[in-house]
Amino acid sequence: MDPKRYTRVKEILLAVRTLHGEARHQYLDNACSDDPDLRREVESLLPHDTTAPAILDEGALEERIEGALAHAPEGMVPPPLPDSIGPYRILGVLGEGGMGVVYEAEQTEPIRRKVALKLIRRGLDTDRVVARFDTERQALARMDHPGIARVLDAGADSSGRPFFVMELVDGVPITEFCRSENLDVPARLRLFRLVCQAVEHAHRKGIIHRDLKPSNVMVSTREGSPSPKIIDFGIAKATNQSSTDEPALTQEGHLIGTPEYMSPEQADGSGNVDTRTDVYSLGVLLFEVLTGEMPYHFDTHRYSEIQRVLRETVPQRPSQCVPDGPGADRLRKQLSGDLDNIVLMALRREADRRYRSVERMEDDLRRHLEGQPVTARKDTWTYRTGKFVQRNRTGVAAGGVIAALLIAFAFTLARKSAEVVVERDRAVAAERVASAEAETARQVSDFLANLFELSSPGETHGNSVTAREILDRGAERVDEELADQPVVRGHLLYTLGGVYHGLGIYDKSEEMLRNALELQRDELGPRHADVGRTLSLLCTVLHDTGEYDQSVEAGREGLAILRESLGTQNRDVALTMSGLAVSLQSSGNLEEAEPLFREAADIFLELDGPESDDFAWCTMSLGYLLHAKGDDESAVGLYETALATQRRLFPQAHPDLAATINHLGGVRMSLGELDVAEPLFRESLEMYHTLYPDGHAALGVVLHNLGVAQQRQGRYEDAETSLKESLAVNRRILGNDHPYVAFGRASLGSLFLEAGRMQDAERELREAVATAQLAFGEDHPRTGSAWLILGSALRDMGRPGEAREAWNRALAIQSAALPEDHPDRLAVRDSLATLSEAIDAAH
Amino acid sequence: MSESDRSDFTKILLQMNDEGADKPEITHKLLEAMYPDLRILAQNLMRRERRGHTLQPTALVHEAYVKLVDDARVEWQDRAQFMGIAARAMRQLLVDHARRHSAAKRGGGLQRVTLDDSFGNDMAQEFEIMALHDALRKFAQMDERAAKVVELKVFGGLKIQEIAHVLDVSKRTVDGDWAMARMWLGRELREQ
Repeated sequence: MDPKRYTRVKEILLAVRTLHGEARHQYLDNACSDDPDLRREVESLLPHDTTAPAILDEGALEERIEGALAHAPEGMVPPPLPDSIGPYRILGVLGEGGMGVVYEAEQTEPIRRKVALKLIRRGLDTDRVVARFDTERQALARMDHPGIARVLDAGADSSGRPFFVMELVDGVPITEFCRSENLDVPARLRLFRLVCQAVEHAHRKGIIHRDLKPSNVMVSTREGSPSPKIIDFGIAKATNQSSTDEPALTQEGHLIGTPEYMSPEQADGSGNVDTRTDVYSLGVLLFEVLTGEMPYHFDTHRYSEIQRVLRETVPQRPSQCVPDGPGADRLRKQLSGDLDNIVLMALRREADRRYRSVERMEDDLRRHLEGQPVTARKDTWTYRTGKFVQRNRTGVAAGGVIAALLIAFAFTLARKSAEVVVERDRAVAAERVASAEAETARQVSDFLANLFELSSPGETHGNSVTAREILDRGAERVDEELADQPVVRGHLLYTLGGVYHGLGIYDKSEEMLRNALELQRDELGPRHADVGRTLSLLCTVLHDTGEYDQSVEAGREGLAILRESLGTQNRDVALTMSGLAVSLQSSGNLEEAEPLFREAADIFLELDGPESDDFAWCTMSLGYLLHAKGDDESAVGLYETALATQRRLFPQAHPDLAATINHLGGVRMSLGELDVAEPLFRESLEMYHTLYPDGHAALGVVLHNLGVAQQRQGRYEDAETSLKESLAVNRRILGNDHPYVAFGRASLGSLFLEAGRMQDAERELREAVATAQLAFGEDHPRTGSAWLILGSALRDMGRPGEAREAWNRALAIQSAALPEDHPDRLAVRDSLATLSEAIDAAH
Repeated sequence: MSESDRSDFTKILLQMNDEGADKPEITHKLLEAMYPDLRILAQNLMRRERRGHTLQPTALVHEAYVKLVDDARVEWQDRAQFMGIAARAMRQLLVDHARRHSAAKRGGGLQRVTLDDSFGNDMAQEFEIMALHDALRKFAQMDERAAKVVELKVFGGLKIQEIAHVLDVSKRTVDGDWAMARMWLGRELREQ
């Protein structure tokens, strides 16, 4: 509307709004006589005179202004504003938090300036707070860094509440800044490096922050670039309830403050707070800066619950926590790998396994930004402590139950670990200190240390080096560089074989061990203890590749050698016994396996007492053996005992624990307690996923068991998914002829059978029989079981003659291999009897 | 707010009276100067008054005046200027909040946003404020004075009489402007 026209409309409207009825009409007729558009305009506005929008009413916006202003950071309403606190005049409120209120205040002496004054909530002991602050005052004064807000003063207000006076900082919390400025990942990392540098400065001056969180890291833009300032240095220490850094709790056991940023050592009240506590909090902060999420969420302030979560769970990788939304996939890709590793390295539960200093963490961020390999590695790999790999014992077994005939397939992977190897290394090194072999031990350690030192950028293919790459390179170097030192080389091959096995890379492991064995026999003699140790490990590896006979052979020889050279009360001997027992059991020789498990358990009990991982492992193995013999009740008891010990020993995910949970699920399933079994399988599965994010045969086993549990609940689609996934994992990791592949096919076949998919069932079961014959041999009980299920399928398809043939083969095998009262044997006999009756009746 | 700040503010305010003063520029400067203070001021005021009654924008503006202006040095006319600026500041405050708030609700993707529940219930409110703001800008292009009346009345909480003083026009004129603005804004807002 042009201005002239508007003026005319306004004129008419203001006149006509006071008129009513006929008078209004006349006026409009007159005023707009020759201009219908004008009249339309006026008439479209006029009704709004009496019905203007509510937003224009007097006082309509008051509430909204209140709302806009009440949008205080922590959503709390503070007490009325005091005029002054101590010598400081209070100007306004800057923010509030769990610890108290922060005011903007004015200082007049020695200079006039604005400051931030933090008044601590009631309930803390003022004298001690102030005294503790005083002890730190000099150290705080030494800090001089643009990224650190100075703490100027501390005191108490008239009612005795302690307060701190700090440099006034503008800016917003770092997380908010990154979001509102929409910073990309590199920009966030550059900003975070500045934060690290400031914290490192404080650490060098002997000050630990202890309470790093977004609201303590304020960012503003200075000279065009983001500039962080850390506030509250020195305050957390002063305000802690006790000198031992125990967390502040209410009487009901609720935590005061923000649990999400608290390190495990702060949460458990152990008092072991040092600079690595800040490393942890920085890890949480970086996690949040990168993903917008936090590694842990606590729905509660209940202290015991927070402790439990920190103790029992492992944070997810940041890349897995990116919420869906635009750009989420790209962000996930950017985070996975180096940044996941950097964050998780800072977040490790044990302070010793985190970055040693904030500087190291910052350096890794720099490396990442510059495209260089970083020092952080996945949690399975620790270098600095000299631990080669995390305990990596894999023992998986379960009653894989063929639903139709209640035949339990026993799955197991032997437990033996790279760690055992390394522990042996250490023990051996200790034994040999005085001897000429000390030199060998030293060379081995040097070589390994070298191997795991960060390779220089030129030598790596990508930005980061995987464990596998390091190992492969190590294996090459062993041959190249140690050709003239066969003893050292043999020892290293043995060690590498253990590590490959721990990672589930069985073919490489076997190759290393066979080479080691040859060297050691030549150099040390065929009855040397090292030969025994290598055989012992080979026994385990061969078991897991499914070569049970060879495994038993290696185990027997190894055990004999070790008994000869080490006596009986020896850990290596006991470990070899339990490894051999697992292989015997898998090859169907339960009678010989049982006393070996018991003897090994006795040795571990003697050496370590009942609260030890090895003893718990043996208890579980024995339970598994009884389960395989059909004594489910005794098996439950042994599993529960082992589990209780293991849960105490391993607060986080652990292979031993995962194995026992899986076994317990298996026996519960045999007992028909499916609702108990399924959650156990899921727990075990989750644990293995955490332990082996890149896949492992154990995952295939537990998935199989889960699938069977689902099948038995009638959830055929879920079961098919689980079983097929299991089969895929097993074929990929173990190869097509492995016993587990035979089991998996049999289970899948029996699922199809039960679901009425006869063609699928027959195909899968015939594959199962063929695979079993290859994997176990023609006369093995497991091959018998496969025949058995195939017989059931044939019977159900209306082919009784073929069914009887299959069952007779099964019975012949079982009669030779199993005790007379074995449930499998009884089941087959019953089935055959029923079938015979049916066939006879039909004739 | 220190004495020196207060004196600075008053000095800028008084520049309004200079011959050939760049009034929009001075207004902008004053707005910039008082905006952050006004926010904190309002927060504190609101909290003090929370029990019993809601915030009166006039009370807020008065409070701001006391804090910001050295009363002895300014004429009544300057006070009127101040009221105008304060109303503008309140408008900006609401709009900024609405903008940030609705942006936060739409979600930046990366960050979980915690909002005050008492205020976070109704997104429509945010849009309403924004709609009024936009309509008022459009209206000001045709009838600047009437738009000013709306700002003073709705955002500044001033009475018709006070607005007449501030704008140096008759009360009748303010009445007319207000009536026109209601009709025009009413149609504009309903048509959206």
